[in-house]
Formats: sequence, structure tokens, C-alpha cells
Amino acid sequence: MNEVSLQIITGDETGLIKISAPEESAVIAKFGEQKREHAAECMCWSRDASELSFFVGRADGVVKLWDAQASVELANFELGREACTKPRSVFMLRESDSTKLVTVNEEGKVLLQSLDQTLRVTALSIKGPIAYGGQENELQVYDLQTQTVSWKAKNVPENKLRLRLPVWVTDLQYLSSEDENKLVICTAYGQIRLYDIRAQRRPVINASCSPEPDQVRLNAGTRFTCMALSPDESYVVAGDALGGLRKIDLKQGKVCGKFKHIAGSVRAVDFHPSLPLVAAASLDRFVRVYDANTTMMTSRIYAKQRLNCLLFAGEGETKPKKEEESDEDDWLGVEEAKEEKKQKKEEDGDQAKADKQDLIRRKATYVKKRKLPPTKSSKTKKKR
Amino acid sequence: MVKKKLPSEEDRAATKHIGNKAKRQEVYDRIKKQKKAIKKAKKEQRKKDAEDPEKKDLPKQVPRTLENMREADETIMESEDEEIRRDEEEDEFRKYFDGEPPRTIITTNNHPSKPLIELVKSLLVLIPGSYYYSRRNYNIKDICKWAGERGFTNLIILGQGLQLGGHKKLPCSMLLIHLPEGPTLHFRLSSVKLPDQIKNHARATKHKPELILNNFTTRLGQRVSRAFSSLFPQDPQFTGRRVVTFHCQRDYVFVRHHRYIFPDDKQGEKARLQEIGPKFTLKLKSMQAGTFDSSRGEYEWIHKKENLGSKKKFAL
Repeated sequence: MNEVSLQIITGDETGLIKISAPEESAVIAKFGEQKREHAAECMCWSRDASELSFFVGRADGVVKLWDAQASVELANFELGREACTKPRSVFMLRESDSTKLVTVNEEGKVLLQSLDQTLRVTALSIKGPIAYGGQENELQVYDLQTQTVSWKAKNVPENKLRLRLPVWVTDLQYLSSEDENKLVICTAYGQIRLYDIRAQRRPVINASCSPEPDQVRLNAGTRFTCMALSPDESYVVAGDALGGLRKIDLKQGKVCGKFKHIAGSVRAVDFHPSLPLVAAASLDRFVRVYDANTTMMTSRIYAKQRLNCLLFAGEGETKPKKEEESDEDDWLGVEEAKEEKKQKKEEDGDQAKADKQDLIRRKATYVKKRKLPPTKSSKTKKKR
Repeated sequence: MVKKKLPSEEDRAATKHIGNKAKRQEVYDRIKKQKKAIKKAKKEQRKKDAEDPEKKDLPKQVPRTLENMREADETIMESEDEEIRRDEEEDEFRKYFDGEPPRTIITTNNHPSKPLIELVKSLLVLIPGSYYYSRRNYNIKDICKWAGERGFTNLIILGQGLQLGGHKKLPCSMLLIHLPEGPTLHFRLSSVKLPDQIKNHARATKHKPELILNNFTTRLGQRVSRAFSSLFPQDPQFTGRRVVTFHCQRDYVFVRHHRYIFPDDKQGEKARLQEIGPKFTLKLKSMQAGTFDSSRGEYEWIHKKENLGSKKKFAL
């Protein structure tokens, strides 16, 4: 009962959506029509409709709502082929009276509002105002209500040779759900940047990751493709185009761990909401699950196709609420057991003390019983 | 230098308790002698059994090799898989398998050495419908774009390098790019033997060759084999009796070019082979999704030391 059944939802290049169980290292369900034009480009949870439903943005500009438990299609949104092909980001926009679905494609076209038609958008995130950025398109915050760019980042200073550094934002995320002022981005040039909107327009932290030996051999730089923020918001896990997956501490701005054994470009990373687990989907057709603390691989699933996007279902999504109560009972049980153990330890400790004292006493008696050698003085006395 | 064989753990344990060195050596030698005798007897028995008609039906002992001890891998394609078949119908090579004739550009690095030019000459004979273009300091990205627009389906770029301890620049790498969508395969090229270096070699005719793709078992192997097959026309001329083989063994791909003949007078005999050449070995280093872009491209598979782990694991 207290076992958490993990589930990972993946979308691939051929349009299939698969649900896999990392504990069994197997795919449990697959649905969708297998066609390359139906390739799943992006995914997001929909917590409003039902417990385990999610949106999938397809390459042909159709956004579908799926129910994972029943593997049925709940809704279908035609965005129009010209308006929104190759959607990059899909998300739920919750306003006071209604919820809207917002889809943004590569050219920066939004289903409801058009941001900037000439620039390419490759990353977008929403928690409050919309933030976006892309190739030669600096990170910007767009206020939907006033329909203006409220804040725009500034490129980092020129390098030692006084050359301008190129801009390419590949993934971004707000640091916390409440705070609308801090943003984390990863770039195609191997940087993880933390922006504080209140402080300055340039990044507060700019951590650049040097390429690994394999990348040096291939004459390739680090190209981050995706990123996920840890639930405690202390570090990010960023995947690159050469199959590297790194843990980067946001306070120090340093690499603090590497997740190994990925052979192809990492397309999507996601954290489990409560457990310290990271899932990565890559072009080598595998989904790998890692322990975020130890960076060890716990399981891997062969998904047969090149993967594009991934969602890691948390406890809330997979488990009915009733089970949580039993969990609490178990926790109580554990505490009781702990107390018992403690008591036992104390008792054991007392016993050990008594034993030690007894041993010392016995040793003393032994010393007392032992015959002492005759002293010199007594010998001399006899001679006399 | 002959390396002296160290005594085995078992033998050492048997004589360990003897304190006297001379005695210990004596006992150790005796054990060794006995073991040798047993081994010899076994060998003789095996020889006898092979000649004995009664024991001919006994199962033959199979030598243990890295191939038959290969570790289980979920990417090995055992039977016809509907999902993979449908994926392959729509992949980058679909146009070739729909009947588009292949056209290949062969080029080299910027200043090719003489051995490399020789290899290019023999490759032009090996691959029908291939054209040589001198490199002229063009970027690979520009070449890909230019060739893709002109209806070429493949691009081969050969590279050269110094061998260990040598001073000649010999062919050492091959880049195979499928146009216009990719993928890009990067191979290490070794053991090159040109037709002139092969004893009793035949001359190639202009017939379209048959193709043998051997032992590509995994999903990645299947993709590599599809990339190789997209170099050759799909309608071989059997009258030419020309055959090109890509044989994969332990992740190395051996490329051979033969002419075969069926002996008419003796039926049931094997076909005789005559090598045409060239012959060389390829080892896959990386496979990139899309056309060549080393700095910003996404890789589908990279050969990494950390992924090897065991000698019994193979990628292709």
C-alpha cells in the first residue's frame, strides 16, 4: 500500500505517447496515432480537468488533452496549420473567471496574443507574466494584461577580445511559484544563468560549464537543450546535446554532480514532485531515472522511438487520496518502532554498563587473590 | 619476450603450507605435471571420439566467444516489430526505399595525401553513381546545403591522419551524411587495402552490385545498415556477379568487394570468391541527428567510455 507507483509519460517523434513504469522498467500503455507529422513537441499537466490528464502539443498544430489512466482522448484543439505549427510550449493560463490554453510556436506566435512575429521563440514559461527567449532573442518578460514587454534582459559584457557573445535561450523557468522576480535559464552555449528582475538586467549568477572530454574529442561545445529546477530550488539539472546531464548548484554557480550513461542528446528532464528522482528522455530512445542526491541511475526504460518530451507523474497524480492516510499510519508505526528501538538501546546500554562494572570488580578480586612476590625487605630479614 | 606464467591461485594454495622452499617447489612441480597429463589425455580422447563413427553424433563443443556470450540488450530487434516498421517507413531514408536512385558526392579533407586520393579512386568504382569533387576549402555545412539542393542523396568526406610512429598521412576517418535531412555518421577508418595491394584481385565491372548487410542486430545497427544501403542502387544486375558486403562483428564493420562464381561442373559446391577491393574496416564513433553540425548539433548516439562497462556489450 505504501509503495509509490511511479509513472513517466513520454511523447516521441512518431506521435506516440507512452506511459512507462520505471520500477518495472517497462512501457505499460501507449496511445496516439503513429505518424511523423503528429510528433509530440511539448506537454503539460492539466490539473483542472481530472487527476491524470495532460495536454500534448503536436507538430501539425493540434493540441490534444489526454487522460492517462483510461488512455482516452478528452479534447482536441485545432490551432490552424498556418497559425501554430510546431508548437514549442503549451500551458494552462488561469485567470480569475476562466482558464485558457496558451500555445506558442517557434516563430513566436501565440494562440491568443502575438508576442513578436519576427523573432524565434524556443523557450517559454508562465507563472504570472510570460517569460520567453530564443536564438538571438534575449530573455523577456511579457505582461499579458498590458500587452507590453515589462522587462528585458541585457546581454553579458563582451569577452576579453571585445567580441559580443551570442544569445540563445533554450529553456527557462521561474525560480519559485510565488516569486515572479527570479528566473533561471540555460543557453545553447553552456551557461546557466539566474536573473533577478529587481536587481539588474544582467544575470546575477552566470555559471558556464566547460565541455567534457568526450565533447572535446568531438570538437563540440556544451549545448544545453533542457533544464529542470529541483523541488527545493537549490539546484538545476540541465541536459545537453551530447548526452551530458549535469547538476548545477544555483548558490555557488558550479557543477556539483553528473548523471552518466546517456548516449544521445537529452530532450527533456523532469523532477518527481516529492521524491528525489530525475527522469531524462533522450534521442538514444531511452528514458533514464536517476537518484538526484547520489546521481546514480535507478532504472532505464527502452521507449523504442526518439523522444521529445516527458512528464514525471508525482504521488498526487498517480495515487488516490485515501492511500495517504494509510501512509500516515505507517509513519506512526515507524515512529513507534523507533521509540521501541531507542528503549531497547537504553536497556542494552544499562546492561553493558553493569557487565563492565562486574568485570572490573572481578578483575580487582583476581588481583587481590594473586600471591604477591616476597619483598626484598622480608628476604633480608630472614638472612639476619 | 616470453612472459612467465604465474602459478594459479589454486596451485599456490595447495603448496602454501610447506615451509621448505625446495620441497614446496618439488610438490608444486608434481601437481603441475599431473595436471598436464590429464589435459593431454583429455585431448587425445577428444581426437579419438572425433574419428570414432559411433560417437560422431555427440554434440560438438562450442567455443566461447564474445559474440555468443553477448549480454542481453533490449534494443536488439528479435522479430518483426510493427511499431519500428512504421517508424522506418517515415524516417530519413524513406525516399531511397521508395525507389529514388542514390547519387553520392565523395570528397576529402582540404589537402588530401596521395593514399587518400587512391582510396577515393577505388571508392568511385565501388559505389555506382558517385562523383568526386575536390574540397577547395569549403565548409562541410555549405557543401551539405549545396549538394542537398542539387538532388544528391549522400555525402562522403574522407579524412586523413598520422598513424602511430609513422610519417605518412593515411586515411583514418569517414563522414557519411545522408542528404537532405541527415543523419550524419562518423566512422573511424582503418586497415585500408586498395585493389592493387590485394593479391590476385579482379577488376570491377560497371554492373550494379548486390549488397549484403550482415549482423546489424540492434536498433542503432539497423539505422547504420540503412545508411549503408542508401549508398547503393536497389536494382542489382545479377549478371555482373559483383557483391559488396558490410559485415558487422563486435561493433566493427568490415567492408569487402567480391566477384563470385558458381562452379558448373560440381553441384552442391560452394561459390568461389575473388576479391575486387578495396577493403577496409569502419568503427562508428557518433551518429548525429540532422546534417553535419559538430558544435551545435544534437547527437543520436555517441561512443562513450562510460557506457562501455563490459567487453560483452555491443552497440551495433
